[in-house]
Amino acid sequence: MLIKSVMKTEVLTVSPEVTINQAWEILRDLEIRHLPVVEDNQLVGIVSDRNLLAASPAMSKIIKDPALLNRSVGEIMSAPVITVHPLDTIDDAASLMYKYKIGSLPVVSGEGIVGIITESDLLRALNEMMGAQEPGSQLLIRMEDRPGILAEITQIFKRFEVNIISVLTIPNNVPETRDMAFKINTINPRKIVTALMEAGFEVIGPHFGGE
Amino acid sequence: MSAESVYLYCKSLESYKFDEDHPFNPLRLELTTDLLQAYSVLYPKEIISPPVATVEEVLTFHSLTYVESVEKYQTKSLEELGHFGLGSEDNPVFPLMGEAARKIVGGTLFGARAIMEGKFKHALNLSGGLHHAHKDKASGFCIYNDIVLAIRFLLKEYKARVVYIDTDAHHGDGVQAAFYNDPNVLTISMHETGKYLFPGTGSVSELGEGLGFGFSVNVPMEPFTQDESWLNTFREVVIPLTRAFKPDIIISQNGCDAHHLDPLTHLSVTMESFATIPSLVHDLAHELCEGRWLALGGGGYEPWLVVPRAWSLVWSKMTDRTLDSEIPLTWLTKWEAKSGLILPKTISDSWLQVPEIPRRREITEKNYLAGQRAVNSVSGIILGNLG
Repeated sequence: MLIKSVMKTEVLTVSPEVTINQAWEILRDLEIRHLPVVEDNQLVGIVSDRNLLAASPAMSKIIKDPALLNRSVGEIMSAPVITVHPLDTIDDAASLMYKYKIGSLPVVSGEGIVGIITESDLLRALNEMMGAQEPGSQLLIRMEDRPGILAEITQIFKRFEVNIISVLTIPNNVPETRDMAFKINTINPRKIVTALMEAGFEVIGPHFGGE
Repeated sequence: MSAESVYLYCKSLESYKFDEDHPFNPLRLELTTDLLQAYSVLYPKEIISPPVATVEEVLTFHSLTYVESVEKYQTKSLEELGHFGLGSEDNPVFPLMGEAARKIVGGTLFGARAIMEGKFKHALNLSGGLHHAHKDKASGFCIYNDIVLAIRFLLKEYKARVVYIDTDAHHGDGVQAAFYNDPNVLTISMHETGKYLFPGTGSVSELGEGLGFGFSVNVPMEPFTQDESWLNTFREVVIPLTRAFKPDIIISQNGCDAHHLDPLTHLSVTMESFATIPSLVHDLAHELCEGRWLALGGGGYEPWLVVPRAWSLVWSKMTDRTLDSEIPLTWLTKWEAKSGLILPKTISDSWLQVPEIPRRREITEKNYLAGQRAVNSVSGIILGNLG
């Protein structure tokens, strides 16, 4: 999945002169957490609610001297900014966010900023990939890790004319095996479970023993 | 002076039958009706054969293209039908299926109307409760969504505030989706978690949207949940939220596929729950809305050992007519040979050994926390809505 299909394309940016106080108001009003900072059409930094929090003095001090919140975001922003390209994959975005412990990535192409991708965009994409919105039953199957094994399983689904809504590979600790979760479009997977077991597959979920 | 209860039934409701081996077996309606008559707790004057709903009535929720595909499936290609969820192993087409599905809708609409007109306090349509059907899609054995159609009728004609209580093992996704933005309908579904079970939706975080935020409630329950935890969740979630909402009418979906013996699900509930829940709903209806209660059937795929007893208990609690602990011999003799099984001799499950689950404490805790989260997420909103 490419970032361009998941990112938000309406991005509000600010200039470095904007004050901490103004930045707080923008985040609050728009219910967002990240503001790219742009100067002469170039992305020069990003300011998040965490930057603002770290730069905001304690309330008792603000009351005495409100001017403390008049520092500019240019002074407190994170720079340089880690960015991605619209044709990067969401896998790239996920590993960058995880590695650098950040909540968003501006998407930059050619002239400048064309979008932004945040944690919640990734979660929404994950949700869609798992087929969470379409009705179906989930089967968790353990299989040998060898070429052609998936074709054997999908042959069984085809025999019962049941549509596959999503497929995920789940890491396990059992050597030379793989676990895969299939969401299939039926309320009654019993015959399929039986056929899978007859063909030698281990259906590990739903498990029927209750242990 | 209104009569207490009406039982909506007619043999022709059993024409809603996909095929011989299909798990959705309409014989369960006859088995239940016959058991109630063998118990002498269902009188002929209480049974009404409901009218078939019209296509126009069905169109108050379902889309025209979908209804055409159901009513004239012979003229459609397999591909077209597949687009509407029809012609699959779950929802195969069958002769006159449109009329059969409309007959069920007719029963639920009749019940809703009769209750609001004050002809009866309670109505039971065990053929209804087809909670998975969507606006333009058949799903999970459900063609037309009788529940959504009845609620729409109640909203339009009576501006009623409706609580919908769904204790089927599967999430009531079709009903939830239809009223996801509507604060006049509180949908509460407790069901086996969608981790494995169809349809996969129904997590605590599904709370409604827009004006309807806080008016969709879900409690996903762990596989192997037993009566104590199932009933505690009902008491701690369904009862307080229904009270907070102050409905004009309660609709319950009484699917009984949460039973330990049900082949499609993984819960471990027994007759204790199927006796207690309708009794609690009955009390709520009298406490909150002058008794207005429309009860429906739903899932239940063990047609011999589970469904007739579970659904007889709904009528028994609705009418306050106690059932003897022994199943009438006439009923057993009549059906045992046909079933090819040894049928239960008692209305309770005292004979049933539900194996002790080692993880029971963990399951109970997980269910409890899910229930608490559900209540905490919405109770303020529901109470606030009353101003």
